[in-house]
Amino acid sequence: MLPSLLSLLAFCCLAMASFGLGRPIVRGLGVGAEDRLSAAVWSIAVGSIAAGMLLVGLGLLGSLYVSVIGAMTMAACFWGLGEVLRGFLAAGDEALLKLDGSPEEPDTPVTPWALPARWLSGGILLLAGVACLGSLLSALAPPTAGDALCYHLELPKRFLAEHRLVDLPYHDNATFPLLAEMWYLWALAIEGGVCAQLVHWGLGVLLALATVVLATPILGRRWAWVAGAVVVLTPGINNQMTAPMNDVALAAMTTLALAAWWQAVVAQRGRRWFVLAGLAAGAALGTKHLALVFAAAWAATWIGTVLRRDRQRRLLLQGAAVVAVVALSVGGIWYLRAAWYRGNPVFPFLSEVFRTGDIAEVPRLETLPASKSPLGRDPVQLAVAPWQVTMHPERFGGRGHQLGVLLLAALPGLWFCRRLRGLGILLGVAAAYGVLWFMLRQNVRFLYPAVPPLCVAAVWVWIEMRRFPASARRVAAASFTVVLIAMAAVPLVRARKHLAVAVGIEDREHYLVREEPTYRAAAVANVLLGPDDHILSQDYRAFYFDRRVTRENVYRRRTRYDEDVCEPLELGHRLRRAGFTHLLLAETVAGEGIQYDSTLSRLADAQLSTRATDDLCKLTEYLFEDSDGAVRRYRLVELR
Amino acid sequence: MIAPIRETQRVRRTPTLRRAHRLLVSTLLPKSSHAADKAPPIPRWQAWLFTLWVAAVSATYLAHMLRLF
Repeated sequence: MLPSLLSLLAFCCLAMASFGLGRPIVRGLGVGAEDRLSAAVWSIAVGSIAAGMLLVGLGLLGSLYVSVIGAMTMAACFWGLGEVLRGFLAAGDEALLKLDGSPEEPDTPVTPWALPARWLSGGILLLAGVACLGSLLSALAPPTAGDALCYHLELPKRFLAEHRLVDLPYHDNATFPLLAEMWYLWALAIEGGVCAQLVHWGLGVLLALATVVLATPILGRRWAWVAGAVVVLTPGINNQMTAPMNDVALAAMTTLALAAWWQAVVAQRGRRWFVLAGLAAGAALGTKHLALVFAAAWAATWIGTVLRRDRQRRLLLQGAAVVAVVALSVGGIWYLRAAWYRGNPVFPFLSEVFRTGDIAEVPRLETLPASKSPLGRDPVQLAVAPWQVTMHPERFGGRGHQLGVLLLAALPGLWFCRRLRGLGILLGVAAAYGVLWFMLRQNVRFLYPAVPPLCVAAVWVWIEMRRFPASARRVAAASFTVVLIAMAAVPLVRARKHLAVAVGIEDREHYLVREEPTYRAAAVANVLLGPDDHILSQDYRAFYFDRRVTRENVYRRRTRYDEDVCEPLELGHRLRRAGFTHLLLAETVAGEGIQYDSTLSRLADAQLSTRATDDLCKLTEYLFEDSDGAVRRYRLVELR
Repeated sequence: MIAPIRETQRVRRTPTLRRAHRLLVSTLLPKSSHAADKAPPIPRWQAWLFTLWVAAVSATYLAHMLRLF
C-alpha cells in the first residue's frame, strides 16, 4: 500500500505545484476568476503548461537533474499551498461581507429550462466517480501499455538520464511534440512510472472539469457537471486515463482552448481570453501532431464566424492573431526541433512534401496509408462513419479506445431540439474535425477532442427530453440509464486485475513479471549490463531497461545493416562495430497478434546454429503470452 | 441644531433566519414555473421515434459488445 500512497502523494505535489505556478499567471491575466472551479481549472492548466515549458528550457540547457526539478517542484508546491490558504481566507472574508448569504453562482446564465433534479445530477456524478475510481485503481498499477513503454515514458527516461533533450536518430518518436512527455519526465523525476500514469489520469479529470467550464455558460453549472461526467464516462477516455499516453492530454487542452475562445467570441468577456485560448492551443500543438487537424477545424469555424458576424470582424481577426502568436510561442518549439534534426517539422509525416534527401529515410513512411482508413474516403462512408465507429471500434484502433454508444444514441435528438446560443459554434468545430478525421487517419482515439462539445450537445438533448410525453421520456431515460451504468461498470471490472497491486497486496515487481513481457529481460540486463552497454531490440518496449535501447526496425530501415551480413558469422562483428553490445530477440511462436519483423532473430539464429564461435551468448530466454494473445520467445543475447 | 440621524443597523441574518425566510416566502408565493414548461411539447411521433432509436441503438451496441452477433 505504501508505494501506491507515495505515488498518490507525488501526484498531489505535482498538481499543487501546477496550481502554484498557474495561479499568479491567471490572476495577472485577470480572467477565469468567476468562481473557484474556473479559477482552479485554469490555474492548474496554465501552471502545467508553464511547468512543461520550464522543463523544456532545462532540457535545452542540459540541466534536467532530479535535484533541480525537485527543488523547483517543492517551491511551486508550497507557493500553491499558500495560494490555496489565501483563497480560503479571501472566501471567508467574502462570506462575512455577503449578508444575504446567496450561494455562489458563476457565469451561469439564467436558464429558461429547469435544473436537473438532485438525484439525477447526483446519480450521474456518482457513476462518473465510480468510473474514475476504477481507472484510478488501474493507474496505480505499474505501466504496461505498449505505446507508453515505447516512447511516452521511454523518451522522458532517456532525457532524464542524459540530463538534456537529446536527439535519438534511431527513434521515430524522438522529434514528436513532447509536452505531455515533459509532464511524465516531471513525474519520473519526482517518483516514477506510476506517478506518470497518475498524471494522465489527472489530465482526464482536468478534461472533465474543462468540459464543465466549457458547458457552464451554455447549459448552466448544474447541467454542465452532467456534461463533464459524461465525458469521463466515455469508455475510451476513461480507459486511457489508466495509461501514460497523450490523447486525453490533447483533448483536455483543445477543450480549454475552445472554452476560452467561447468566452471571448460568444460571451464577449474580453480579449484577454484569447491569450488563454492561445496558451491552451499551444499546449495542444505541443502535445500531439493531431492538434494541427483540430486547429484546421477550428480555423474553418473561425472563418465561418468572421463571415457571419460583421460587427465582430475586427475582434475576431485580432483574436486570431493573438491566438496564433501565443500558440506558436508555446507549441512551436517542438516543430522547430523536428525541422532542425530531421528537416521536417512534422516528421515522420508529410515526408512526401518535406524531402530532406536523407537516403537513410528510404523507404519513406506514407502519411495517409490506406490501412489507416478502414472506411476509405467515400462520402457515403462518411455518413455511416458514426455507426461504424460505435459498433465496430476494433476496426478503428481497438475496443479499448471506443467512444461508447451514448453519443450515437443521443445526438440525433438535436433534430427536435431548439437552437441554443453558443452550441452551434461548438458543433461546427466538432463536425469540421470529424470530416478531417475521416479524410486523414480513422483511429477512434483521434476523435477525443470532439467528445466534449458533443457531450454538451447530448446533455442539451436530455434537457429537451423534458418536453416529451411522459411514457416516451421514461423509456428513453431507462435506455440511457442502462448505458450509463454499463459505462461506469466497465472501468471497475477492468480494474480487477490491477486491484491487488494497487492496494499493495501484490508487489509491483511480481506484477510486472506477470504482466510485462520485457520486464524479465530488463531485470537481467539491469543487473548484468554495464552503464555503457547498448541493446538492439526487436521489441519496442524499452522503458524498464536502464541501459540504452535502440529499435531494430528503425535501425535497419536507416542503415540496411542486414544487407551487409552475407555470412552468418558477420552479424556479431557488424553490430559490435556499430556500438551494440547486446541483442533483445523477440519472435512470435504461437497465436495471433503483432508480428515483429524476424530479420534480426533469423540472422542471429543462423549465427547461433553454426556453433563455430562463441560470439553470441544467451543471457536469458523465456516464453511469454502477451496481452494480444501471441506467445513470444524472448532472448537476451550478448555480442562478444 | 438638528439632531444627527442615526445610521440604520443592518441585521445579520443567521442561517436559521434565512431558512425561516425561505420557508415563509415559499409558503406565501405561488410556485414558479420555468419557461420550458410553457414551451410546446415535442410531437408524440417525434418523441417516440427518438425513443425507439435510443433503445434500438443501445440494444444493438450491447449485443455487439457482448459478441452476440
